Amino acid sequence: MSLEPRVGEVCSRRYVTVSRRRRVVEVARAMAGRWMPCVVVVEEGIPVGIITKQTLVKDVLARGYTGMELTAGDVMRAPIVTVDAGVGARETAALMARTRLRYLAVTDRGRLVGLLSEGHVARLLPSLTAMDPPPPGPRHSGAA
Amino acid sequence: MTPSESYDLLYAQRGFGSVAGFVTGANPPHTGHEHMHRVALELVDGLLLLPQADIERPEYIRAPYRVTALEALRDVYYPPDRVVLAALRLGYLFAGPREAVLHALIMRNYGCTHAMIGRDHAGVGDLYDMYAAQRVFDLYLPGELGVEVVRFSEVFYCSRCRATATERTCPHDSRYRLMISGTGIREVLRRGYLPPKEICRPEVAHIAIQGVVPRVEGGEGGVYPAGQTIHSLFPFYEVADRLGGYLRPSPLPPGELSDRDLQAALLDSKSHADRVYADVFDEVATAAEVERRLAERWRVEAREILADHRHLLADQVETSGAQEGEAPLLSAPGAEIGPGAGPGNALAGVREKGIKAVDFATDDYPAVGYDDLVLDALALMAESQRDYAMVVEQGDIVGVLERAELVFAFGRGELQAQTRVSNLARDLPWIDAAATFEDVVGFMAARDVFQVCIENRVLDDFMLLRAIWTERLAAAREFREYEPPTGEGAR
Repeated sequence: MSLEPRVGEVCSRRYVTVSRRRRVVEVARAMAGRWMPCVVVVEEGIPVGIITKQTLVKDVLARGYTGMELTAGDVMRAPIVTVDAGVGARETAALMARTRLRYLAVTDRGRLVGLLSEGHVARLLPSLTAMDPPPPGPRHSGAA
Repeated sequence: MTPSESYDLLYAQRGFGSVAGFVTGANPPHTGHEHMHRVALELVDGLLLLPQADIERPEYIRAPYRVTALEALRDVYYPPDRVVLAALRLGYLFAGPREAVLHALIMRNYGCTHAMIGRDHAGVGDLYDMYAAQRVFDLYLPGELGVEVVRFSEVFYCSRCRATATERTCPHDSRYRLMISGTGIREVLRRGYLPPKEICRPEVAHIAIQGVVPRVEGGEGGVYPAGQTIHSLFPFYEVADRLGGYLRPSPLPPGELSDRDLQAALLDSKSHADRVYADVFDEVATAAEVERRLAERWRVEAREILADHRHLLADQVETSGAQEGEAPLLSAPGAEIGPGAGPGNALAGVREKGIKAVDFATDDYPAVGYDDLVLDALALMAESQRDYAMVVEQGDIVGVLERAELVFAFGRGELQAQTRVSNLARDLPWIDAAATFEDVVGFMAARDVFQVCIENRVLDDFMLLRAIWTERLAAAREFREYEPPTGEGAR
């Protein structure tokens, strides 16, 4: 039996959601004021996108917007990438590496149950690397 | 049915141990009666309904229809094996409270152990007060009449409680009430309307309306004036602008109310009597429910629009109230917007205030060396609640190690316990001390980096956002609380 933690065990079960109609300026204020690295955009209870602090820098500020004229739906990254709560940490890290995404929505039977950040996975690295076999050492010729 | 037949039916055949009796008069059965019957059925085994069948006046509901309506009420709304109906060959004696005593004795003779006496039982117009027919029983010793008298207060329908109630059980005032008056119900039926379902069951009203004698002379179609009917059924209309509504400046005199007013009161009652409580529930559910899937989507959408507009208006007020000489951090809505520098730019505020990026850079950061293990660097990041660590050599920042890169490296199979910082760190971009926030933003966006170094100090993306957007936190309270997971700290 694998001792590797599952995503559903380490993700954050509390997260902030906003509707796609919410103005970016309000989202930005909340994120900046409360040190929230991301918020999930939902529509009728279904996650449809994500806004990260990087989104605010690159897609709002760098383009000269105030945030008043944009809504969450305008700037969110969509579709949101999800990972099932039963997936292991290693596989999730591989997914993050392939996609270079720092935040994933965690679902359980299709329903949003949490938010996973690279920080959650990073906390597991010491224990995960301890499970790994040591890297191969120098080969011996075997000849007498 | 004779008394001996009644005894046989109630006790021998049905096996009741106790029976409550109820004598009805010229009015159709209504929910006030039903309220009393249900209370009685909680106390006794059986209910004996005794409609007076020999009452015939032009303004009354004709007897066969009254009895049939009572049968309909029994068959549809009462437990079938617990309610017996036996028509009495008895008319009005107009004897006032003593007639109530007679009725109690009749109920006793028919086998009842309890006699139900409501408000104005066997009343004669306004000759006796509403509860005189109950007080008359105080003249008798307990048990003297051989039947226990159960007294009921006046029953009305409270739209706020969403139930029939009495003054003893309901705290709400008359603007929420539909009064249950048999005379008033007759008048509504006579005019061709069904009464509100809260005071008369539709199955009962459907039968009773066949038994009214329509007024054939002139007038509005009723025996009594519309104002009197409104006063007896819909007194809220006299004092409030609608059922459960705000009070009128002064009550409307019943004598000045017309059939149009009765129609308005009827329509209000029929439309809103069950909406009052339902609307209260909607309000509470909107505030309390966490899962919104069952909410009416258009209502949720409307509330979001309202919240957006509220903030826009608040911003206008804040902007207009700014002190002279102070530029707001964010421009007022409606200003020129678009890419590039301009009055609409979010960075305009910091620029106008002369704030430089270097003012927000910090020299408080986790520092590691190239030879350090990445796992040690990770622990340092956790301790300092950062998602990066600066690589420092001889006191100068030379690179950055991002936590996310460690995760990516692990996902690629490139991170082990012995991996060093030098394997995964990258060069840290430097930016001139004179750089503005716009410069930093552009720099970060162009190079896809999240930290910059200014004069050996660090400015990261969170610091940038907080510098620009945290002057006004009014919107933050609109969001649900976010709690970072334990160990990750505030970031």
